[in-house]
Amino acid sequence: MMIKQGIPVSPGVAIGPAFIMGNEDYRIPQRFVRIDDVEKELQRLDAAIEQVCFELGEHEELASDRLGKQYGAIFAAHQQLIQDPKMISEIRELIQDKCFSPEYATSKVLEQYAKLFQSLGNQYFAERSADIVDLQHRMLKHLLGERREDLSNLTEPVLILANNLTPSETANLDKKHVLGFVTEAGGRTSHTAILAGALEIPAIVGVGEFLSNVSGGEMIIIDGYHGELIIDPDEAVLERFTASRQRHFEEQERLKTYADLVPETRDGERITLMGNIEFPQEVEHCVERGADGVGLYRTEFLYLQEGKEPTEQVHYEAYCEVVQSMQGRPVVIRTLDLGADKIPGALEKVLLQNSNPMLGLRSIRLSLQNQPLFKTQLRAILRAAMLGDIRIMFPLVSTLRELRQARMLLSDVMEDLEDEGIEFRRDVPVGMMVEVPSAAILAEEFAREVDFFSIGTNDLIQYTLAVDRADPSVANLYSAGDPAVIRLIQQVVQAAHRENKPVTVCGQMSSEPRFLPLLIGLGIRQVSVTPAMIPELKEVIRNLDVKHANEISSHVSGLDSARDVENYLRGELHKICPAYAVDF
Amino acid sequence: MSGPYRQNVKVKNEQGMHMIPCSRIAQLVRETSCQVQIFRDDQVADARNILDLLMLKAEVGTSLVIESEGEGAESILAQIVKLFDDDFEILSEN
Repeated sequence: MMIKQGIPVSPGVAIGPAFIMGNEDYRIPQRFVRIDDVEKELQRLDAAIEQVCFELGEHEELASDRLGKQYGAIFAAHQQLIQDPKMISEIRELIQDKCFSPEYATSKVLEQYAKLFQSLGNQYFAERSADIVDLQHRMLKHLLGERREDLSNLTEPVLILANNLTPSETANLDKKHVLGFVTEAGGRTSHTAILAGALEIPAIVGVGEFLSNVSGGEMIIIDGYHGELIIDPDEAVLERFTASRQRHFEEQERLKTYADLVPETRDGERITLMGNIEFPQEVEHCVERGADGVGLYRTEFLYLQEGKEPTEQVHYEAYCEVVQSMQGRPVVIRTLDLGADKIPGALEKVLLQNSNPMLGLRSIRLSLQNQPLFKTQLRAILRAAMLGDIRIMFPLVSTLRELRQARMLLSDVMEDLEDEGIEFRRDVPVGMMVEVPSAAILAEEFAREVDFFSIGTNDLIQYTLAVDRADPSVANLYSAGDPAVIRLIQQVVQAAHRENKPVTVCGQMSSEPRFLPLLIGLGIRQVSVTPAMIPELKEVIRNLDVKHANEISSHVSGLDSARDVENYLRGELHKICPAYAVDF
Repeated sequence: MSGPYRQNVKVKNEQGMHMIPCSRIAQLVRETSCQVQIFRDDQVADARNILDLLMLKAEVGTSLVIESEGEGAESILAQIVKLFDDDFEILSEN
């Protein structure tokens, strides 16, 4: 048994066989086998060679019949090549002497030959290296077996282990067959992490190097509550987690009964409970749990999906899908909020050149400096707004000037649409995220110029406390319970109320049951949360009365440390919902 | 034990000793217990090993020496020479 610690990004427990997924077609984990397993691994090599020969024999027959013997002969040659005694003995030696895995040994030997051919300086031989690469792929396909099969071919549920998953790979995971996943790379706010939450399957990221300890097929446990990956669990551990998974299922079933209940406090205060989404498909998670709307529709995925800028039509279709599924309930679309931590590939390099990307060109700043990109998105939003209650929200606004610039561009876009005779909605509400301390401090001024606020607690905490929570050495300083953060939220709520503007909390903080009573006590009446948390938060709301929430808020205002606040809130939550003991 | 037997051949194939000729030779030799070596100047290849044969880089017109030893060495040598003469049956089989 082996336990690896990572960052939990999506709760739940998953138990099942491991399935290793590579980034490239046939990525080999550079790994070794145990000395006791060498004999077994050699047999695996022999079996793979035999299978490859059989497969090549079939190809030879087919090619000879259909194309002529000289084509069949190519496969016959491959068949002879893979049985080449010299080559096989080189591979076997690597397995025997160095304890390389058959996958690694095969690749190493074949790659050597491929390189040699390429270096011979003869066109014909250089082309032969492609034959070798082809053989290498055939061998790996058989050696890695089911583990390297296409995810779409999965027939039984597995737990995915990978170095990293691209956003589109993650998005394509089929919940029927993928029970959970663990990646070596990635942080809490990485795109993969956000997607895991969206899929609602247990997931851990940022475990560090561990694939060398797994060959695939072995039993593993993913503890998405605590970020533990357990490889080859012993009997007792397996039993414990099976029980824990059962409790999780039962809890889910119990919470399903909350779908049709209204989030209203015991003393009759109606709280607006909305969902945060990233993909159009997630709307379903919101609707089935009775969300009052989509309080935060993140649009970054549209930019990350194809690795190129989305067209207006791509934006438009995505927005239409969401707003139509919500059937009249509000959908708050946040414009591009790409930060350095979320941008893959080429853009990442540009942004990371800046010594301090979190304080650099991101989010609304990026949009204002790339007006064509920004206008494309605004056009699509305004057009889709014809179909329902769409609202626009600008992220990371830090000065009034930025807000005014963004609004001006919005007016420009409206004018363009009008000139072109394209239908759009003119009176779309325009709001902003309050997530930079400067915006919170000047909340009153901002409130006069927007239709609504949405407090993004993740960034607000990061910028207020000057803490990168992805950095383990300071992550303990990151807390939604910090008195400074709470004071800022309170000021924003008061400023918004003075100007009669609604204010929502859409950060991670509002998805945590223990903070909800405090937020309500601070005067918040709208929250937007991870869809999976909606039933639990409904339960909290329905067991709470506003008077108690107000008491909680005034007690917290007298506390001067994040730890005291968090402990106190945990205790109060326990009083409100005794069901929430320790696990949440 | 018989041999060693030795014979000179010339590569007729336009593309030289590529994958298919090499694999034909190796296939033939692997069916026997003979020791067969092919020389190109001072370079030598074990005829069981396709990769070895390929590494001779024998292009059209190259002179090679085939040497065989062991049980049935004479017959195997004749068969290999025939492969060279028939240009490895690559076209004739069609």
